[in-house]
Amino acid sequence: MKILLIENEKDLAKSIVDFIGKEDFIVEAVNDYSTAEEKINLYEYDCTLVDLMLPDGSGLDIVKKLKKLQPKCGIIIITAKNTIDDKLTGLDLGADDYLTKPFHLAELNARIKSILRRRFYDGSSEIIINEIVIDTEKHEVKVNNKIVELTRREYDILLFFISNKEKVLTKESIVEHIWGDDANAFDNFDFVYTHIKNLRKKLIEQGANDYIKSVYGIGYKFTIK
Amino acid sequence: MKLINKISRYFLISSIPIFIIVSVGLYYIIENTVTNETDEQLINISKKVIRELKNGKVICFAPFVEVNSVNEVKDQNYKFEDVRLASQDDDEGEQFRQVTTYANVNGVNYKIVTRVSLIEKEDMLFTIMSISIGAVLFLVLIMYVTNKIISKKIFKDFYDTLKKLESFSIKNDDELKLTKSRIEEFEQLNKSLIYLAEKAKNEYRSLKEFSEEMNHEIQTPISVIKSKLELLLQNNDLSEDDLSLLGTSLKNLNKLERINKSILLLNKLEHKELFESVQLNLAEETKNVLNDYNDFISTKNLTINLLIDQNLTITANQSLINILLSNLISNAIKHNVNNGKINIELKNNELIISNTGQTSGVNPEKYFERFYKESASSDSVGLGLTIVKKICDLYGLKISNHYSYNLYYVVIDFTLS
Repeated sequence: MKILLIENEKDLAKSIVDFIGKEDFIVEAVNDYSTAEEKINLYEYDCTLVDLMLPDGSGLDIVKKLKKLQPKCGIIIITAKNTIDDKLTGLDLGADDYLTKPFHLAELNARIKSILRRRFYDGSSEIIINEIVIDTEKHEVKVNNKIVELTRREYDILLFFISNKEKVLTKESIVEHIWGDDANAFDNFDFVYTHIKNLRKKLIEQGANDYIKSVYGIGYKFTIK
Repeated sequence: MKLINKISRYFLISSIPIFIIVSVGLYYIIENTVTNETDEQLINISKKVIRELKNGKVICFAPFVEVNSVNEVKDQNYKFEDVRLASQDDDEGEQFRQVTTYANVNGVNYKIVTRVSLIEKEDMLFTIMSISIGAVLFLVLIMYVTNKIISKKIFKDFYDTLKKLESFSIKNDDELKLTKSRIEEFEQLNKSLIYLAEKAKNEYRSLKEFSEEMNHEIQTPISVIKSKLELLLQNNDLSEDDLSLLGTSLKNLNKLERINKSILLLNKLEHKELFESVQLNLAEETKNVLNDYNDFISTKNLTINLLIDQNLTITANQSLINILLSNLISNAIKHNVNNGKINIELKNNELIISNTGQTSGVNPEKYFERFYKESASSDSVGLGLTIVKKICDLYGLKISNHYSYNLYYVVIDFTLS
């Protein structure tokens, strides 16, 4: 999978490349409008991450061009401008998603995966992790071919974990992903613990390995290794 | 007290001693003049009486002229005095000015007393005082009438300026336009005010721009730091101490991020036109928010009591109403005790949220202040209620809070003013 990152802030671009580059992605990063334009004219991408504020142009124009040149390419707008107008224009122009800075890298990763799943699932909507099979179309989880009954929250948490496997996830990023931006204003995240405890229990009961490890004082990590 | 009345009052007070001095002076001058005139007249009469005596005619007309023959001539000079003689009409007697003189006519000595009745001094004093008081009263009346006219005419420009100033806001874009006054002082005032308004506006604008820019500029470094810390977190060799350091850093960065977001929103809330309004069902919105907070509510095992009128609607921006309800309900959850309760009443155009657990003792008005926190260690940013208040202000809703029977209440009146 090839991903183009158009981000004016080099330090942030490097973080994103480092984080998602460890997956099965080839990530190319550019820092301005003209280079971005050049790239999309020359190469094909599966997903593009576009910063709206570029030094020599607007990311919205890139979105327009991409829609014309590469209609199959997924588009995620990332911006520091938290205006509803930009969001609507971006989504109207055909962007798949919109993310406001500052965001969790895990969140961006999950969004990319979700778009890629929707756009390129070539007949199968299943994610397979050893004995765990997740059908993202039917929202169904099976362990050793037996269906595991999960609540919506538990399912969402599992999917978030699997999108970010082998990555340490903070409790805040989980809360924000599941409960939305405003939820991180709370100082008590005990309920996350409860949901994850139930999720682990249900998976183990069906014979799955305990992949979800807690990371001291920070959060959790879904690890196969 | 109106300026013109104040001036008039001082004017009147200072005029009273003048009136008193003038009255007293007048009294003495009049008295002196009258006495001089009377004395002259008396001398003339005396001379006439003596002339008549020389012609052999004795004039006697008591009490005005009395001629008596005496043994010796005491003094040829005129001797003036004020006397009081009994009279039939007046118990006190009547006041006379009299002159006594002696004359030797044809070898006979005469004592001649001539009298003229005088005006009573008290009467004169009384009359003068009456006239003075009358004049003062007249002055008051004239002043009252002129003040009315002056306030209306001269102060017209002033009140006009005042009215425009009251409706002027540095937050609005329209300039302060004042009507030109023909009165120099008012025109000067207008000029100064226009200058001041312009200056305040510019200062406000640049401060606001600065705040908005800073807000925006801060976002990028926060994003970078956040991403770098999250990358660092992926390092497998971190010790527990390292993780704890990272955890604290991320937690505080999260707080900084929230502060910045809240200020961004507060700045935006100055402009109503930025927010598109739609008709909203408040019952539905409230239930949605409660739904979002389900997990938080069950963690604390809170009981929610709903008393909701299904038909209450408001025309406002959905995100803003959502933020308003979210902030209020999340406060009611955050500041609650385990096994506590939250009551939400939505009726008679009022939203009343009350909850257990919040400590009283502080003036609850303070909760609306920026960055107000119960304790310094609190994780909350302290802008939630400030934002709520701003949203209420934006739509002209009345909001208040109070403690009653161990419950903390927030009341929003949705009757649009």
